[in-house]
Amino acid sequence: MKLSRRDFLKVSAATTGGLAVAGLTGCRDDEPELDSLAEAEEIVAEEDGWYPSTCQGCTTWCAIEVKVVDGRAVNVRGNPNNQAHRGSVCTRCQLALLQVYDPDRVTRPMKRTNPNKGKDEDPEFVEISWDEAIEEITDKIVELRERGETYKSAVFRGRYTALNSILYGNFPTLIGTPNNISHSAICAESEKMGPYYTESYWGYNDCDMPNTKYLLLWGGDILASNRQVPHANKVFGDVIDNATIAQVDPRYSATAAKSDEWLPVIPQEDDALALAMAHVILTKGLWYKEFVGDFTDGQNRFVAGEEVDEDSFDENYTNGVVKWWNLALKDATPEWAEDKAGVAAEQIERVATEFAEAAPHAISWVCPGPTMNPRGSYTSMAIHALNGLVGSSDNKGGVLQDAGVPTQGFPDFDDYLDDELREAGQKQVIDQRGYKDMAALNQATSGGGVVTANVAQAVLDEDPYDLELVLSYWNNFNFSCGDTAKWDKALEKIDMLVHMGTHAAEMSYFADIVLPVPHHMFERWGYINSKANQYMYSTLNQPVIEPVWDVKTEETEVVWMIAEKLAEKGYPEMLDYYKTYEDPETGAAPTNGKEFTFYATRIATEPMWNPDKYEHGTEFDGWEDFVDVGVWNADKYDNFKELWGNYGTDTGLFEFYSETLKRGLQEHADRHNISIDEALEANNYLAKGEEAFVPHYEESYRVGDADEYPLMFVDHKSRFNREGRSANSYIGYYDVKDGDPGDERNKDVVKINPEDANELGISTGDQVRISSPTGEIECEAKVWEGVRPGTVAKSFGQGHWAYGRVASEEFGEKPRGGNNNTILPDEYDRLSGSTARHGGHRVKVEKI
Amino acid sequence: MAKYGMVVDLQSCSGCSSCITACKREHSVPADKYWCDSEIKYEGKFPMVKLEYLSTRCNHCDDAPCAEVCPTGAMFKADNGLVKYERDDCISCRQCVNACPYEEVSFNEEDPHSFWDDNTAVIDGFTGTPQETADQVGANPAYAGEGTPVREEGLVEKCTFCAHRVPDKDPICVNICPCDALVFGDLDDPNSEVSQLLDRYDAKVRIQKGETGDRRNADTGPNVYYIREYCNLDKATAK
Repeated sequence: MKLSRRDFLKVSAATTGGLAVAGLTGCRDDEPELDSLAEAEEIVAEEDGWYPSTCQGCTTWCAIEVKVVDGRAVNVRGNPNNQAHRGSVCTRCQLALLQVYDPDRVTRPMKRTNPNKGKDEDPEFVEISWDEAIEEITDKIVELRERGETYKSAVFRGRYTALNSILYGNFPTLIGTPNNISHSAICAESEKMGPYYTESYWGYNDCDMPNTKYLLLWGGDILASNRQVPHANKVFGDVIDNATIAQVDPRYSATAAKSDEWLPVIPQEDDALALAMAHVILTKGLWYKEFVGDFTDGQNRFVAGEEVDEDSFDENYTNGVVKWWNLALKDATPEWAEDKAGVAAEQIERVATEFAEAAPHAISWVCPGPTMNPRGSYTSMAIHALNGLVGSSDNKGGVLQDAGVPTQGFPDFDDYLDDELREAGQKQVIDQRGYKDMAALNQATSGGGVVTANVAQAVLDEDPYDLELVLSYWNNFNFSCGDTAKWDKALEKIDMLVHMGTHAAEMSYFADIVLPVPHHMFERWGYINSKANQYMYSTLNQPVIEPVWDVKTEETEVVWMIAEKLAEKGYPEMLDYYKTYEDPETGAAPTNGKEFTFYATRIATEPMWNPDKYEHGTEFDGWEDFVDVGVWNADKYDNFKELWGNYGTDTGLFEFYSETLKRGLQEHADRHNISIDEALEANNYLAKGEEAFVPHYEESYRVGDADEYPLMFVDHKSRFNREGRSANSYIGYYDVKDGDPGDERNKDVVKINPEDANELGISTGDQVRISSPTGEIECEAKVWEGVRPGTVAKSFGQGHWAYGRVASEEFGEKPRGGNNNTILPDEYDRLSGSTARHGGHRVKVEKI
Repeated sequence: MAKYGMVVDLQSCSGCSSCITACKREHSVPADKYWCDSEIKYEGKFPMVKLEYLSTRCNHCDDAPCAEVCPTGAMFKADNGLVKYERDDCISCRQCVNACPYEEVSFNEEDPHSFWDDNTAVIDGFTGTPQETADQVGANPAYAGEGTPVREEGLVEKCTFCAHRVPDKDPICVNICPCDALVFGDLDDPNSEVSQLLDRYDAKVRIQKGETGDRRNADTGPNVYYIREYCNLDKATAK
């Protein structure tokens, strides 16, 4: 008979005379306390079987299950209880097994002894105990505190669970720094600009693919990468039958092959395409009248080149369609766009027409490709605004928001701060967000968003100040940010860099202390929320195996140890605060890092598993039930059209003319005593006057002289990437790399069109150097028809010089292949703070 | 007795390669060998490019040339249609490798997982070694522990259609496929999903490596069928 976990723990407690931890708190003898304390120390899988956890190999964040045999994770599958992905997983999930059992994981803490930092400097790591490591970190925190310079510290966040709200959320404030730097702006912040400034949604939309009649994808290679990979794979065979699919991408992607239409746009010219499509929809009278409204007399006055009187149109749930037409659309004909975007006018017209004829069951899906460029914010708006024209925003077969997850916040910490810490926490953030030339308008707030990559320049310039202590986890910024050489230099300057990850990565090479951390899928507690298929969900990270090495959970255990050490040194406030994270059932205060982690998970998720706090979605009869199922699903999001007129924008409407953006830009301009025009200019945008408040065309801005660097570089994501962490996989990466269209097994290739290859005398298999004003890399050439002439394409993820024996040619010395970020510039979409990795920055390719 | 076969729905397949990796993990296949593989073809000129990704494996042929040439009967056609292999009877003559027109039989020239024998660390004393990791979790930590175990050099090997899972469970490639593109079942049972798919759609099979066509043109009687089209693209322009 299979014992339930709860039974097992009861038996353990009875037969061993009570677990030691029970004695520590020893206050009550009721069983739940015994269980929760014991479970904090337990591995979930006490016998062979399938156990739920979470895959975070990309930001789909799938609820999955791990098969454990004899304490070893042997297999994975999708969690069948998850309504979003319904038991499906992509190949990244399998690669997690290769990651947790990677031969090159960091096994214990290590400390640098070589004071000189640099790519060519051996760190000369020596042994350090966990206690000594925490002591050194805490000494630095105290030193900064005593000097009144606590703000010279920072937490850099990479891949995270929702427990990041401790290490990344409140810990920085508790040590007196405003600097919690997320990786978000090297991911996709510009993508959020469209949904936010049209419909007040700062997030990634869900899309109702099963019910759509037209799927218009902008860069998103959804069968291969973000954001709903298993769901997309599961439904796509039927989507092909039910809908017309069009893919906009300079590169022939995995999804392009499965699409009806491919629009191989010139990089960064997607805005021209989207605006021309809007032009076609309006001139042909194909907008969705129930949503947008109509001319008062029913006569379509949208005629190319002609201004329209605003009073002649009666709008329903949208704001400013006529203003948008007059300011940005009336001359944006398909022929105009053909010249800009390099796609034939008839294709633009056909796609726009068929897209609108499918209204309202038509999806225009904005993704990072067309937006993560220096002028991408308005492109994001233009693409998303197409959903407004066809009434697919918040509609069946259209583009959706989400139902939210009922989570519980952690206790308030304000009582544990003094004025000095509070004041330090209010200082300018290190990344220069909100500077005149770095608006970072997250949710219409000047400097409201992170500018991840700009930390490097800020540190080098010591503007606003220098950083002396950085705790950095699950990230690798001198590999994953543009201009990796600049990041190397910046990391050299940080007095104490603590790098926390599973592997000794490029960033570890510049670290003073390296701390090994658990793998989120197998070795720790946590949870994370995501959505797909009209279901929001929350999925648990669970410790299903004994950690392979001597690891501690960075988001919680490391924090706890620092708190304990600070208390020893006369600063007890942080520990006092974290002791308020009492277990929601037993009321027990945590006494160690593991209990702290466990209670924090239980506190945050309690409204999902405690029947007394039930709000909506899956009903559990308690924690045990939640743990066994592993995932909470919201009710299906099908309350379509409820947002119509209630969008949360400044007008409550779907804003083609964005009053919300106008307010944000005005705030930023006022902050610097300049006009909005000047603010835009400072942020490298060309818009003048009213144009700034509607999606409009912006001339492309590419780094590099076109004569010297004649080709445009297209960076794309591999379907085998666990965010740049899987190139050290023994199998499942290099041996199947040809699963990325155009790529080859066991190689890193740059794909070049035969036209360009002939001109340059390059053949498949030639070793080539790709150079840009920023740097140069070497890899192999692949002559291929799937790239647009004038562009070259290469997938991100290879070119590691320190991520393990498979990923590097020679660990610590020589990369295997080339890292795209070595040649990509340190450039931004300054309105969103996003790294401008796309847009076709200029390179040259030479045979070597 | 059942006659097992597979239908690959090319329209549903996204070319994700999950099947290849799952197979390697299930059967402890070395990094440079493939029991489950792919044939990838590109046709046409920019921008009208057609990709076909064909998920491939042993066809478990009716008239399996590998079994026919095997001098010891180590490779044989089983009653349930599977082409099976008894390692203990293999004399490593490799005639089967040469006989298979699909090149689906491989030979381990070297110790398949010597990678994991290495006991050097990339940072001495602070990172693991392959051997240390393998000592903790098995000779090939990528192995899922249920299919064919780690093998020595000098043996031939190929897809077993996951005989250890069938018929209770689908082969692992079918099981892992996120696209529901792989369907496994009894070709002799008219009610099986494979039979119904073959009734509904025209199918093609592999004639030899790199070539597909009508099953009547295949000498071997392959039992892995391909239905519908992989590539959906029919309109693309560039100026």
